[in-house]
Amino acid sequence: MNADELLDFALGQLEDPRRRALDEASRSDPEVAAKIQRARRAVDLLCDDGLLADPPPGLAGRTLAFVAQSPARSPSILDYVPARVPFRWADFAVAASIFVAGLLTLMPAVQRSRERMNQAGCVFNLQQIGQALGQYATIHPSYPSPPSDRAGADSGLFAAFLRGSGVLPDVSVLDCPYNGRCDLEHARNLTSFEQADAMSKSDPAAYKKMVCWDYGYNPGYRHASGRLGPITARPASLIAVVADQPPDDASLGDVDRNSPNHFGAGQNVLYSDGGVRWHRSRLVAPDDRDVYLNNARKMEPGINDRDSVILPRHAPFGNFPGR
Amino acid sequence: MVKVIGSDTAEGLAQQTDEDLMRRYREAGDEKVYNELVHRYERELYRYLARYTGDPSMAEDVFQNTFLQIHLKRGLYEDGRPFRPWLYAIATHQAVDALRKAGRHPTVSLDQRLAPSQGEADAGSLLDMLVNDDTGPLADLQEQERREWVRESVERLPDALRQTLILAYHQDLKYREIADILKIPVGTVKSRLHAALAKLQQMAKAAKQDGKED
Repeated sequence: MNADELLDFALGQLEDPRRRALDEASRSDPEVAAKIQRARRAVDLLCDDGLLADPPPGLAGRTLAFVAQSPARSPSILDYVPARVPFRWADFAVAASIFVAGLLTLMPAVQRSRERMNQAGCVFNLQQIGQALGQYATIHPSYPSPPSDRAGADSGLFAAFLRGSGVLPDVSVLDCPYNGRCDLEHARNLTSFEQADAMSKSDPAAYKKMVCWDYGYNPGYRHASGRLGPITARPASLIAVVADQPPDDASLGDVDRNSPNHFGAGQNVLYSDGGVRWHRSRLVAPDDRDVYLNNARKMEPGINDRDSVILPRHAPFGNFPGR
Repeated sequence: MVKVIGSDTAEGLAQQTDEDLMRRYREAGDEKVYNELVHRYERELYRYLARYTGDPSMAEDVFQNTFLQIHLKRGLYEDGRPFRPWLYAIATHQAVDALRKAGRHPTVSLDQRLAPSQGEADAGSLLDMLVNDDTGPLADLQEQERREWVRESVERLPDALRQTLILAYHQDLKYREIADILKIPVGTVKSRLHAALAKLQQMAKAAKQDGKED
């Protein structure tokens, strides 16, 4: 019998068979009985407050009435939720980590899939533009080019030539899907090159809204005589005609910078044979070292018919010295 | 379900266990069964609540709310679960809520010293501490005065110790039942009860010393 047991016994907390053993001991041994008596007395002195609060009369009846009056509550879904969740936090942690690992594994695959899809959309656009250019070239002797008195017009207006000729019915192909949709609502008002060029002078803000697409155009090249000439429709020559828009002016000279359309990953280029190819760099042919700059490292028409230059939509067709 | 003949008479209900009654009430919502449970615990539970809240009218409110909860949550009663600890657990939660709303909850820190008071190196076991004085610190006090002192001192105990003391000493519940009610391990119940006794003993000694100084 230790002190703890004796105290538990005095408090009525000792479990069988120790309780019975102590009972026996107290009956046979007066000393044990005295000890138990003293322990009980000590506990009672400290704890017995003499309160015997009887319930007020009619408490049970009032309780029943109170419960009966309580608004009848239809069972909610929460009543059927188990009181204890049969999972430990560790289970949730394992499930969460599996989920995160799966997500991390799948994310690059999903991302790649989206990239391919958007790139395919861009290729489709350029093919459509290529068909429109081909149709334009059957009507006219060459690809779109302004008359010599309007050589200062923006090269982006190649689309206006196509629209004016009725070979580009759907302007939505001018939007590369990779870098987010651009608002081509105003571009639908584009009717002809003359109308658009006039608007660029009379209402530059509306013009900027209207000419907002994602593709740049090749304005042509300079002949040996110094005269500017448009690209002739010669499929065998493989000249880059339209491509994803160039990087902004500030970083155009940097050969490592690709078109922003595909977040710098590369650019789709439409060639004069109607084919579209994806290039991870701006080198598109052995004799065309940079698709966005001519071989003199300038953002001007090429210096020969194999030196194609894709200008941003706001760069003029023929704005270069010597013209 | 086979219905026992005569089980719905007052005598028949009185012979059934709390658990049987609660199961029947959960399944059939029989008013007589509920009535029996309320009457069965009227005195016992009210005494617990009166002592715990220290306010007879608050105890009555809490009693009513407790049985309202039993009525509303009857669907959550699990077969085989002892009824009494479940009832006390609900009553204790209701009482804590009521005391919190009333804003007069005793706020004694659990960090208060429970070790032997100053000047005592080691008081030995708790039992030695309680009974080693021949007369005991409270023996000199008049009975009425002692009881008042006990009421005030228990009121000043930290809430966790006070709960355990009332359930164990006044309500005669076993450690296991208290552990079930308070959702704590049995060992913690025991240590809290012993801590409550030790603290009361210290208070008693302090009261005795103060009395002598006065």
